[in-house]
Order: sequence, then structure tokens, then C-alpha cells
Amino acid sequence: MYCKYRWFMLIGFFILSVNIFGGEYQIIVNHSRPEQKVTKNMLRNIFLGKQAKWENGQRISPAIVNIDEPKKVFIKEILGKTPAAYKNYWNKQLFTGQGVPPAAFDSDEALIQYIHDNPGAIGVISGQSVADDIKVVEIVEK
Amino acid sequence: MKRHVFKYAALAIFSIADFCIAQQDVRIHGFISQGYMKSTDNNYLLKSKDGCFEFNEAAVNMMAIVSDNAQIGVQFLARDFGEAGNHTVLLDWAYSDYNFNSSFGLRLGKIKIPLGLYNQGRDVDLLRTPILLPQSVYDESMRDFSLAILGIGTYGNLSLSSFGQIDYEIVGGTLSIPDSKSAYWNWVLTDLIDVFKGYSSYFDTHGSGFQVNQQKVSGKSVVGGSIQLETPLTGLTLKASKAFGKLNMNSILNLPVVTFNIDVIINQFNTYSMQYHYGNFSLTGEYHLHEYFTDISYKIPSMEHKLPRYYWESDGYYGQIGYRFSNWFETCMYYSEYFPDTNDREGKNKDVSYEGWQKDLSLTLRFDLTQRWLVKLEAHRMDGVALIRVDTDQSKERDWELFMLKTTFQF
Repeated sequence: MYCKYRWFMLIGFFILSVNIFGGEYQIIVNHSRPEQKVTKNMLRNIFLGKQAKWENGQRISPAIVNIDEPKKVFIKEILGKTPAAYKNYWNKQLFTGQGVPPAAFDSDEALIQYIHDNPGAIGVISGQSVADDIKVVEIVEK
Repeated sequence: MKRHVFKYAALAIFSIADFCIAQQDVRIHGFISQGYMKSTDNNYLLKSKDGCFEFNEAAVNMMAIVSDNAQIGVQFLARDFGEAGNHTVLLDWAYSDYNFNSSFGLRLGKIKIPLGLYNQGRDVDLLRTPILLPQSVYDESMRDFSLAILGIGTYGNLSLSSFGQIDYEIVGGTLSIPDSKSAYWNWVLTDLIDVFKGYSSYFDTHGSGFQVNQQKVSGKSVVGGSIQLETPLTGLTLKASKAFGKLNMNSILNLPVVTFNIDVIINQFNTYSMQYHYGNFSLTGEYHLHEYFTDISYKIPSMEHKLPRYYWESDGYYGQIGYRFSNWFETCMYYSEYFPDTNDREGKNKDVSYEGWQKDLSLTLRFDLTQRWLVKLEAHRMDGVALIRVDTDQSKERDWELFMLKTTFQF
């Protein structure tokens, strides 16, 4: 009986592990930041420019990778916008002087380097990226 | 004195920016737009009957993060819109911003007034789908009244927990008037003289075809603000905004030499907005009420005449639907209605009834050819002429069309 179901168990474990370890995006912060978790609401406020500082008063430097899937899924799930609406939102902030958009990078490696160099930085990278020296934070509802 | 203040402020801003450039904390952006407008039957906004290219804007801005709490920014804008602008480079906005926390920040400088969804960015074509904002709410002749103040502003974001969140903004200061000799003020003067026909035999006789020999418009105190609610329903935003203030207009006309003094005691704009986004679909609606009290006096050599204080209300509204089909193609349609006098929506007191309204059905196609370059095509079907203030002596057709083409490049 064990032999009969082991293939189903292996397939199920594979699907489960992809969901846990292979999501479309990850949130990373500079190593000096104490946060282990961020709420969805906080992420939304940071990446829409409504929260400019961490609790300790340090300026937040948000960054996002310009790779289609992680960026699109993050913008939809966390910010509730389409990519065009996100671009329009930040164009409005920029051309009315109300804010500066998150820094954008064409590769995870470049964004990871930015996070290293900026103590207050928080970034969105591909879910598959793995590096020894980045700190991934968990996203929680509240 | 004002010139010196601006000179030293600009010097301070550029010195700080120079430092920030070295630290790579500065961003420079801009755009350039060129449009074309062609109307049937009536000249509208520009000399549009023959087709007109006097329809463009260019801007460059710089924003620099100075510290964990502070940032500074400045934008210069040059535009040409028929008789207005003429490519004069003006300071569009410029301020220093100090952010205490997410619920409270301060701005000091030249600040755009937060009226409706589009007032602050009304000169930036790439921020919206339509070329021409619905004039029922964003009347071009009222632009200078409602654009920016020199003063102080406060802003912030407040959480309402499961009821959503609020973004607020309040500004106060002196109305910043780009050019008191611009065509906008002539439009205002024309409207006011038109209103006072019937109050005075002088205006009955001389109320059209005048020229302005000299004009000075002084902005006085203005307060404005908005509250925007991001509701618990994802994608639904509600906004209420208001601005009110005073100004004085002193004009010397050519008929035979008249000094015309207008004190606008209270000039008040109220705009209520709703916007809903669901995926690539959007639905927008706004209502705008404009009310003012005026004291007008005019002086013919040796005699001064004062007219009774006048209260006037105009209003307008529009509804718009839009859909983005792909990364490069979006379309929207709006229907708008404007009434220059809420007590006379049928135009019974006008020379012709259709001067009492202007109804506009519009369709826009927007093509984002690259991340930085877009092209728009737009057509309008108009009923009424209430908003026609160019060539006021022209004979106006009730039903007419307007076509527009515009391209914008941003960097």
C-alpha cells in the first residue's frame, strides 16, 4: 500500500516545496535591519511612498526588480494594481513633486548589491534567487 | 524683494542638489508633449477651426533626498496653449519637504492645490488617458485660479484599520499667478462683464469687443485641501477636495478709458471624486461646484460706480470608463456636462439657449509605443458652447466636433 501511494506522496511533496521555496517573489532587507516579518499593509505603504521611515526613524529605501513575473505578481498581490497603474501612480508622484519611485534594477544581483549598500533598504526580488548573504523577511497578513 | 527671495531660494536648492548629486541621491526627470487640435464650426480653447499646433508642454524636474526626514524638489514648466503660455519658462512647483512620520509631513514653497483627481498633474499629459481633461471639472479658464499657492502644506496617511486608510493634504498661502496678462484673465473679465449686462446700461452698451490696455491680478490668501479614502473594497477610492480664497483684478480697458476693479471676495471650488479600478478596467466620476462672491466697481474719469455684490454658481460633472487592452493600448470614453449658471441650466437668460450648457462625449485611444513614448488620438462630440471663450464675437454653432492628436516623450 505504501508502494502504491508513494508516487502521489512524492508529487505532492514536490508541489508543496515549490509553493514554499519557489514563490514568484521574495522580500529582502539589509542585514542591519532587525525585522523578521513585514505586514502586507506595511509593504503596500512603503512601495506606494506612504511610509518613508522605519520605526527607528531611518529612511526606507525601497527597490524592485524589473523582471516581469516577480514584479507583476508583487504589484498585483501587495499593491492591488496593474503594472500600468503602478507606473502611472509613480509618474504622478514624480511630476507633482510628491515622491520618488522605488529604485528599479534589471537583475536580482544588482538589487541585492543595492540592499547591501543601503542600511535602510528593502527590496523585491525573484522567488528563485538564492544568496548566502541576504536576509529574507516573511510577509504576514497583520 | 520677491525676486531676491526666489533667487536665494533657487541658489539654496541648487547648492543642496549639487551636494546630493555627488551623493547620488538626486533624480532628474522630464517630459515633452506636442499636440494638435482641430474643431468644426467653433474656435475652442485655441484658434482650432483652422487646426492649431500651439498646444505643447515641456518640463524638467529634480528631486533630492537630503536626509532621513527631508527632501527637496523643483519643476520648471514651459507651455504654449493658444494665447497662453507662449513658451515662457515658469516655476511649476518647488518646495522643501520634511516628513515627521507617515501621518504628518510639512511642505514649504510653491505647492500645487489638491483639487480633484487631476488638478495637480493637469499639465502632464502622460498621467491620464484623455488628452483634454473634462472641462466641466477642469475648466482651462479657471486654471490660474486653482493651480498653486506660495505657502505651506501638510500631508499624511492615516489608517482606519478595517475601514481602509485616508490620505490628506492641506495647503495655505497666496495664490501664485503665473501671468496676470495671460488670456485666462481676459476670459474671466469677459465672463464677469457678461454677467453684469442688465445691471448697468454701461455694460449693455460696451460689454463686448473691449480690449485690455493694462491689467494686474493680485492673488490673496488661499486655503485648500483634500481627503482621499482608500476604501476596504480593493480598487475603490473616494475623494473630497475644496479650495477657497480671494483675489483682486484691476484692469484698464479701452472703452473709453475705464478702470475696472474686481474684488473676488470668496472664490470657492468643491470637487467630489470617485475612482474604481478592477484589473484593466477603470471607472471614474467627478462633480465640481464653483461659487464666488464678487464686488465690482468701475471708474470712468471723475465718476466711480459700484455694482451690487454678486453671488454666482457654476457646476459640472463627468463619468468616464476606461480599459487597458495590452501593455501598449488603452482606451477611454467620457461624458461630461457643464453649466455656467446653476440657476439657468436651460440658458433662458442667455443670448442663445445653448450658451447655457456644454455637453461633451469623448473617445480616446492611447498607444504606449515604448516605456517612454506615447501617442493619443481623441474625438469629441459637443452640444452647447458655454465653455467657448476664445473669439467671443464668433457666431457659435450648437453641435460641433473637436479632434485632437498628442504625443509625449518622458525621461
